[in-house]
Amino acid sequence: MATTALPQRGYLHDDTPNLGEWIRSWLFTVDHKRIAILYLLAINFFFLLGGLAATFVRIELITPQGDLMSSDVYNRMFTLHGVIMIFFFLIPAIPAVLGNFLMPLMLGARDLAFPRLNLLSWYLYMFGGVFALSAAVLGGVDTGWTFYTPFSSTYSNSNVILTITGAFIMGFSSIATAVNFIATTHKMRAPGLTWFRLPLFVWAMYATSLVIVLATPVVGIALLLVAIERIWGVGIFDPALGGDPVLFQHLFWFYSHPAVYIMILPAFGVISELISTFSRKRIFGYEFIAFSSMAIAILGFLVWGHHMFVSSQSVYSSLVFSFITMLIAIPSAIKVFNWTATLYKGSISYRTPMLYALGFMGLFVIGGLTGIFLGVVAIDIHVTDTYFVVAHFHYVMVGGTIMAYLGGIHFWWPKMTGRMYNEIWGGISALIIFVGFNMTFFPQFVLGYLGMPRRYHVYPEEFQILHVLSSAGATVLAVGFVIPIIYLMLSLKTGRIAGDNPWEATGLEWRTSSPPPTHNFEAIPVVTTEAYAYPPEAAARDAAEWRPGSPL
Amino acid sequence: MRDFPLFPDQASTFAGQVDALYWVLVSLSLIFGGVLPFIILFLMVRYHRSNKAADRLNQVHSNLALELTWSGIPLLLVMGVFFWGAFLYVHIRTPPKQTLEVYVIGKQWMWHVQHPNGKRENNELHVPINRPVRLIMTSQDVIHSFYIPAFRVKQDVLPGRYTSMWFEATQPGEYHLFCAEYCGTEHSLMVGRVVALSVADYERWLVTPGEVILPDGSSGAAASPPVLVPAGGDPMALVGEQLFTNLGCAGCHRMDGAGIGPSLQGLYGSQERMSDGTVVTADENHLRTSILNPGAQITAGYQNVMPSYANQLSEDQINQLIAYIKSLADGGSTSGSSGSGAGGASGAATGSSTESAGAPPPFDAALAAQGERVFTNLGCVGCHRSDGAGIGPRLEGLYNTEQRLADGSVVTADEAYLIESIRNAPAKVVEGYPPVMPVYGNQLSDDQVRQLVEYIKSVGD
Amino acid sequence: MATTTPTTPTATPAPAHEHGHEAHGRELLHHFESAQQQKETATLGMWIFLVTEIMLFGGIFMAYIVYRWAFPDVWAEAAHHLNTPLGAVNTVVLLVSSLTVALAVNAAEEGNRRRLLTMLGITLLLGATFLVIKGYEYSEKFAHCAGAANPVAWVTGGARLGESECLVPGRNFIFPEAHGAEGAEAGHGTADSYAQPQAGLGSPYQLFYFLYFVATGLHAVHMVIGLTIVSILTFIAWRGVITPTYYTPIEVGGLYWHLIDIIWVFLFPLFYLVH
Repeated sequence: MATTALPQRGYLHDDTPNLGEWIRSWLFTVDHKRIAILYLLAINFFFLLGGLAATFVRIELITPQGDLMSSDVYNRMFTLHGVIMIFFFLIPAIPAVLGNFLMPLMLGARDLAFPRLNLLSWYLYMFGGVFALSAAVLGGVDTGWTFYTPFSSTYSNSNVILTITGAFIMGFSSIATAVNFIATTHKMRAPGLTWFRLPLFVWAMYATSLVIVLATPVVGIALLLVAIERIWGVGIFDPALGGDPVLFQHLFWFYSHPAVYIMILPAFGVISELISTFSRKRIFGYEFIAFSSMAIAILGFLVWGHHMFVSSQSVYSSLVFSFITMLIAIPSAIKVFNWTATLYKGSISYRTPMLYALGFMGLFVIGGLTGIFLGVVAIDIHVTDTYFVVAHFHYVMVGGTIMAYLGGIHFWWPKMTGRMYNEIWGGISALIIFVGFNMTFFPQFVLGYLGMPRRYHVYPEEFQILHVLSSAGATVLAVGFVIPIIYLMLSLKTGRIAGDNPWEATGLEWRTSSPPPTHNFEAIPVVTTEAYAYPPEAAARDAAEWRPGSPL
Repeated sequence: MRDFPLFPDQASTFAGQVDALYWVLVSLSLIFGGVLPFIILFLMVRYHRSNKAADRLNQVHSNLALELTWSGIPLLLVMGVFFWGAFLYVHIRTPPKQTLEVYVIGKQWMWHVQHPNGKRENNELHVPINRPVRLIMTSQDVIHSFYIPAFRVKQDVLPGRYTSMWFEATQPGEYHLFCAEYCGTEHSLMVGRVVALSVADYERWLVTPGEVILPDGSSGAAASPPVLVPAGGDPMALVGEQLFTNLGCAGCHRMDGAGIGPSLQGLYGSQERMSDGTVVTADENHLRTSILNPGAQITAGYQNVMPSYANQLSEDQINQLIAYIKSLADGGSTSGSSGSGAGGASGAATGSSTESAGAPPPFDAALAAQGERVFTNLGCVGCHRSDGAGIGPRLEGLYNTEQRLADGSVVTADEAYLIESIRNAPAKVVEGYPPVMPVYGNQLSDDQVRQLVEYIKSVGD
Repeated sequence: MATTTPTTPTATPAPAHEHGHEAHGRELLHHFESAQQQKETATLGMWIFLVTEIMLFGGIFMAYIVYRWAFPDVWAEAAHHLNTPLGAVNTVVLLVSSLTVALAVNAAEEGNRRRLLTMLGITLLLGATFLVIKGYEYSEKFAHCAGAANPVAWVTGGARLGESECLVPGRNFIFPEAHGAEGAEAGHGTADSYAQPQAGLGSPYQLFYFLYFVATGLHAVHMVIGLTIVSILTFIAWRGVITPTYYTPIEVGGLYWHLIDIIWVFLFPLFYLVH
């Protein structure tokens, strides 16, 4: 690292005369990097809030009696946890923070295609967040994040409308981001950057954006119809109005199943970057990983019915949905195998992002395999709506998305801030999160197969030991999440200056200064090689240069 | 903390089958999910930078054969799992011809069960072992889900339609019954137990009366002691038949098929052609739709003239009507049962109104008898208990006495007052009682209110 | 800039990257390399957005399909009570407006400012005509339901007009020809002698009208947005921002307008012409 000071012209550089100007320069910025930072702050705030709700849920479940809070409060807590985590953290996390920051950099563009739309999307996100928060402050909402009718449309006495409005507005924010990513990927690639030279992160974001564009409006209209039904008492979901409550589930899952892929596809993209960089090796089976993202995006639209195997849908549709669900396991497996093969003959280092990536692989495999259990209808009948499902989707979303999000944040932290974080604390916290996560959620598989239904405030006594174990794990997990916040904040002041390319990675984002200038590149780069063009010699040289005492 | 199970009881014929598939999947997962981490760990160590000896120069970046292998093998495996699971699923969803049918009503936050012989229970389900049982379920409000982990069965219970599931218990014992679909505040208290009994115990249990809460929320005794039932009759169908008569259905749905509505004889389970040319199976859902929303499916050859009974019948009553219509499908005892139905009704009435038999008749005895039946069916007796210990005032000796109301005024409990209290209870609440009685506004016909009033008059002293 | 194709057909001067953004208009935004790229990107962005719009209505269409499948007779009967002639007129109005928008794009391309303004003006008029007719159709329906005079009364179900027909979903909903669906007929037998008219709650006829109002209402909202966009386009065209080299706003706005028309072209047969 030859550099000893941050570059003067970084996007973070502040030449505003006073505080008011400085605030304006952030709140009215159209720079994708600054917007990414705005997102980073907002999204992490919501993550902590959702985590707080989860903490209360886990504390309550230590005893079977339901003695900490009333059932009403408990229901509001898990709903708050679900709504915040899904709509305001998991869905936007990687696209809005890492995607926003990196897409133009990786594409060699000066900004996203529609910078003002990008800023609008952040305001929409905040606006939606204000609605969701005000719903929580005004007493919360108790429908669960799934808003099943007719409970949500007729029976619930809580702030359903406010919450729905929040989610609805937040949907527009997603759409704005997705439109931006698709247009940028198509039209603003640097010279020489052909589709098959794109980093896999871009492929993943592109697939994600397609899913967002196609799925989000459907949940929008479904939530709108619920709101109309609630306000005016006329509608199409409540059987008392002649409607069909299951129709809501169809519309809802038509979005919310693809939403799972909105959450996990970006994670795949991040992991591909990390594995390749820290193995100093070209990714194995680039095309297969790229196309499997697209396959997942497409198949993801055809499996929504697997959430409804016991909801009275016909035997035939259940079988069809089950069949396609089995198929979707394949592209996910392809990715994992290709990542594993990438390690072969690489030059691996155990830096923090790599630890997250490896943790991701372990956890995602469990999440994916238990997904097959749930896709088999005969087993799903027994375990759906139990803790088995809870454990499964936490393995995918926490073990998958959050691990990738944290890995990505660590990986690109030097690019975003210009400074390195503390590697030792990074490794320790990654380990704590991995252990805490498994402690929290593995017992829940057992609980689920035993028959413990989800969303239960009080539960039979024989489940207590497993619940206590899970809550204990949650404590460890919480510690693991708090540590990075501390050392990452500290690094802003005390972190070592990173230099342009601390990981010696190949992406275009590393070919500009850290942090990058407002317009990203002094000159638009020209791409002449494929992505991840690490020569084998580099891997060998790394090993030759390694001495005891070098970073692991 | 009695015990610490790690695996659920296996208490139905499905349990073993589902678990077998489960264990196969667990094994496959261990092979993939267990071996893969070791490969990753091995590669991590083998090719860590510190290992200077490892070959890094002859890298491979893609290998079509390898890709196809590791796509193909998992594909074959999941397909195998899929077909196994699919056959098992179809088996789980296909009830045998002869099943014991039990009606379940879910409501926030309790399960109400009625057995064909009229026996009711709450948050409990008694079933015999080694006999297939089919549950016909509906909800009064939101979506619930009937879940018996030990049997590995679960089915959502929807408002506005029937869903069903079947199982065959194998082990006598008590098992958890859960509501698995989030249904509101006390979702986690919508639990109970399933009691599997030997056939002999089950038969004995069936004829033992018990206290239950009726689906409309009032508490009351079992509808009528099953011992009074004439042999061969079946009380749910019997109550349904009385309802059928009271509602005047028989005027149009004549047994001989000459009415302006289709005959219901042998209807259940048959294939019916509709006026729009479609063919539907006359199952529970078709019958339900035809009662509540007759215009939706009109049998070919008939006019769309039947009034809708939506909002006029409780879920309980719809179940009873359907049980009656289903009993007509069996053939045989039909004509007899319509005769004995009337007899059974009057028998039940006299049987339980003996204490009022000696009363001087300022009331219409026939109406009062009918009123008592309405009184019982609605579950009024759960609150208006004759010992005065209910949460509603005692009705014995009420008629024509002065009552002090919650607002301090005094009224005479005359006919007008009784009618108002039935139609709109909160208007004049008797002092010392909570205003909890539901408004029966339009749910009762004038005739029924009349009958109720006559019944209350009949217990006047 | 050195690495890209050095010249573009429009010969735009090399943009200054340190430049601010407030001057949109014909100027090339800083992050685009060429006017061509900027135009293509904007158009693509609008196409993607249009896909989301189609999916938005797709949710309603799915509900429509489900219930039409369930109640084919009800659908056919219910559709007869919509004002088909007015719906047809509206269809023609919108189709013509699509034509005028297309002509406006053409005029912009050719730099004919006068024709551009005329066409945009006609489009505005036609759009407003559509909304007026639609509003009249709505008011026709509401008039029978105490809603035209007093929307509050409609919402609360307070004032009944005692009419035999009210096609606005809600407590007062009465579909005139539906036997059994409203329970208001003279009863035979004891059961319905006490039946209060339950209006349409629970009637499948109401589902049809609910979907009708939601779908056309959502479409009307899009019309209002479309009119706003065309007004803005007219304004910037009047200001002379639109030139043969920079008419992307007209093209992109036109795309949006076409989409609204196409959605109506689907709505019209689905609701008015059911048999």
